[in-house]
Amino acid sequence: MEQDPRRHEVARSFRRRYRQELQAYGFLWPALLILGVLMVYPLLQVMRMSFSEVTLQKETWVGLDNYAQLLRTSLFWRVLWQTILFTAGSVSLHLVIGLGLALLLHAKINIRFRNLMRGMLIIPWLLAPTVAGMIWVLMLAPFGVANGLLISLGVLDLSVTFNWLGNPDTSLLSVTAMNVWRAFPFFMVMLLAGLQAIPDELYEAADIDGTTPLAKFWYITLPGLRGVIATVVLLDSIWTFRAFDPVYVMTGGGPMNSSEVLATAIYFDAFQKFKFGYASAEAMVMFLILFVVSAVYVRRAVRDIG
Amino acid sequence: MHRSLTNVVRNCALCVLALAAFTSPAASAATEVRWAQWKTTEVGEKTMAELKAAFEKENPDITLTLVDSPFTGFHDKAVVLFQAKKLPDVLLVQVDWVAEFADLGMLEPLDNWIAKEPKSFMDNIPVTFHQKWRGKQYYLPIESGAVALFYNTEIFKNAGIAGPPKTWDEYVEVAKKVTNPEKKIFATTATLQGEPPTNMTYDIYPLILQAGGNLIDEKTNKAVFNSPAGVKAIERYVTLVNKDKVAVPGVLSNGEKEKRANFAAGNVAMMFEGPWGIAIQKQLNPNLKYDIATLPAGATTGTMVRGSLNTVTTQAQDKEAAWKFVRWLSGPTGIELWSKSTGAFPARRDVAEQSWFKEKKLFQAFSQQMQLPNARSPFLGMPNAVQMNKIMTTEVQNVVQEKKSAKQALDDAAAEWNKILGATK
Repeated sequence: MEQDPRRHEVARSFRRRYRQELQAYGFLWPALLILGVLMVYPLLQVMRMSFSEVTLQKETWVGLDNYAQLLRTSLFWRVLWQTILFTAGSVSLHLVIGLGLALLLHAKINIRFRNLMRGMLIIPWLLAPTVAGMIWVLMLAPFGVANGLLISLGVLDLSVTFNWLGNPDTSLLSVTAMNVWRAFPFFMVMLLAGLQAIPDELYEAADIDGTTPLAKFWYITLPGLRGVIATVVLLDSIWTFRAFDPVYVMTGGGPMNSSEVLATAIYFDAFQKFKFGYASAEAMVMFLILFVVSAVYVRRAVRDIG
Repeated sequence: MHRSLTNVVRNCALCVLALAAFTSPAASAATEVRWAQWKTTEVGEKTMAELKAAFEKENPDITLTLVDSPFTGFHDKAVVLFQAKKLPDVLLVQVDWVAEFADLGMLEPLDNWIAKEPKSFMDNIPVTFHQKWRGKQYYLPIESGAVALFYNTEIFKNAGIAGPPKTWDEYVEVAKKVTNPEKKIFATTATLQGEPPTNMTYDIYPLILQAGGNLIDEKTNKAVFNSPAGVKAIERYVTLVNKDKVAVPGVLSNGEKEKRANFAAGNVAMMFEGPWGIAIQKQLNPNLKYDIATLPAGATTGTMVRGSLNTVTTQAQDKEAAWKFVRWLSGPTGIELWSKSTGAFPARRDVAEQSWFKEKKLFQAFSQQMQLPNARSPFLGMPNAVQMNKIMTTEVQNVVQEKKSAKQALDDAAAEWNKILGATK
C-alpha cells in the first residue's frame, strides 16, 4: 500500500512547526489527567447529583427541583447572607489590620525588633484552623479569658458571664473575630513585600515637595500596593467564602443556625440529613459564586503575565 | 530447552502441592468470622486478644479476626463497605445506627436464631434491648448503660444536704440551695450544644419520659413528645435555666465535654451521665468526691439506655458462624469476660448480679435505674437519630431563647420528626 507523499510531508511540517507545543503538552498530560480525575470528574458528579434526588439506596432524576427547593428555603438565604457577612467582615478586617501592621513593620525602626515582631505576628497564620478555633472556644467560654479581660476593664459587670459562642447575636461575630486573627498575617506579609517594592525615590521626591504623610499614603503607597491588594483580597474572598473548619469547630453552625455558613450547611445536608441531591445543588451555587470571583482573579493574573 | 521444560514441570508440581496443602481438610476446617469494631483502640490489643482466645477455645471450628477502626468515621466506613459489598461478618453498632442500617439492608434479622435459644438467654438481656425495628430483632448488646445522677458529695455536705434528690421538686430545692454564682458553683451544666447533638440523651429525653411522655409511638411510628407531659418537661428545664439560673452559663454552647469538665473541676453539684462517665471522671480528677444515684422522678421514672450492639451483616460469608460469635459475646460467658476486662456495664442481668460486679459500688445506681420503669432506648426506633436529635436541640434552643413557646417548639420538632419517620420505607 502506497502512502501519499504530500500527506506525509504535511504531517512532518506540522510536527516541526508545533514541536515545542507538542512537547509541552507531552509533559503536561500527567498533571492534566490528575486534575481531571481529582477535580473535573467530582465536579461533574456533583453537577449531575444536583439534578437528582440521591439517597444511599437510589438516585432519581428530578430536574431543577433541588434548585427550586433551595430558592424557596428561607434557611438557605439566611445561610448565604451569613456567608457573605462572614466573608466581607473577615476580608475587610484582614486588609485593614494587615495593612496597618505592614506599614508599622515597614517603618524605619530597629531591624532586630522589626524581625522579631514580624516572626511573632506570623504565628496565628501557622496554626491549623481547628487548633486556632479550639483556642478561641476556650477564650470565649463564659468563664474564659475574654470575659475576664472585659470584667477587669470594667466593660462587663462581675456577675455577668457573657456567652459569646452560645448567643445567636454574637456567634457569627465571634467566629469572624477568630478568622480575622488567624489570617491577618497573610495580608501583612504580602503587603509588606509590596511596600518594599515601592521605590524610595518616590517618597524622597514627595518629601522635597513637602507632601503630608497622609497624601504620601494616598498617592504613592496605595497605588503602589493596588496589584497586591487586589490579588490578596480576591484570594482571601475565595478561601473565606468556602471556609468550613472555623465554624464547624467553634459553633457547629449554631445556636439555631445563627453562625451557619454555606460550607457547613452543605456538609450537614449531605452527611447528616443524607440529602445528597439538595446538598449538591447548594454546592453548585457556591461553585458558581466562587467561579465568578476566580474568573476575575485569573483574568488579572493573565493580564499581569501579559 | 530440555532444562526449561523440566523447570516448568517442576514448578507446576509445586503449585499443585501448594494448592493441595491450602485446601486440605485440616486447613479449611476453621471458618473465619470477621468482627468490625472500634473497641481495640479503646480497650487495647491485650484485652481483645484474650477475648479472641477465649472464644476460639470454646469454638475451635471458628477463627475470630478483629477488624478495628477508630470510632470517628466508623459509621460512614460501614456504609461505604456495604456499598462495596465488603462488609465484615459481624458489625458492632451504636443504638442510633440500628434502624438506619437495617433500612439500608445491611443487617440480618436474628429472630430465627434467637427463637432456638433457651428462654433465659433473652430474659437476662435488659428489656430495652428487646426493642425491635419493623418487627425484627437485628442486634444483641455487648455492653449497656443508663443515664443516672452523679452528685458531688463535698458540695452537698457544705450545703447541708443529706442525700441526692429523689423527685423533681427535691431536685429544684437542692439546685437552688447549692447554686452560688459568686463562688462559681452551679447545680448543673445544661447542655444544648447543637453539634454534635448528643446531649438530648442526658438533658431532654429523660425529662420527657419522667413527665409521663414518650418520644415515638411504636404503633403509629409518629412523634408524640409534643404531648402536655412533653411540654411540661421542657418548661421545667427552661425554668431551671432562665428563671432559677441554676445552670452554668453558656447553655447553648455547652456540650458533653464542658459538662464533664465542670463536674470534674468541682464547680457543679450534679450531672446526668452514664456509667462510661466513671472512667472519664477518674481520668479528669481522680480525687473528686462524688456518688451516683438514680435520676429524680417526675410523674414517673425514666432514663435513656445506650449500648454497643453486635449485628450479623447481610454480607456475612458464614452467617451461622457469625451468629455463634454474636450469641457467645452476648451470652453469660462473653458478657462477664467483656465487663471484667473492659470495665463496661454488663448487658446481662445474670452477670450484673454476680458478686464481683456487686462490689463495684459506683455502678449499682445504674443497675437500679435500669430496673425502674421507662428505662428506654428510643434511638433504636429512630431512622436518622443524629438529624432527629439536632432538630430537637434547635427547637429547645428556641424555647430557651424565648423565640418559641415549649408547645410551639415541640410541635415544630414533631412535624420534622414525622417527615423523617414517614420518609423511610
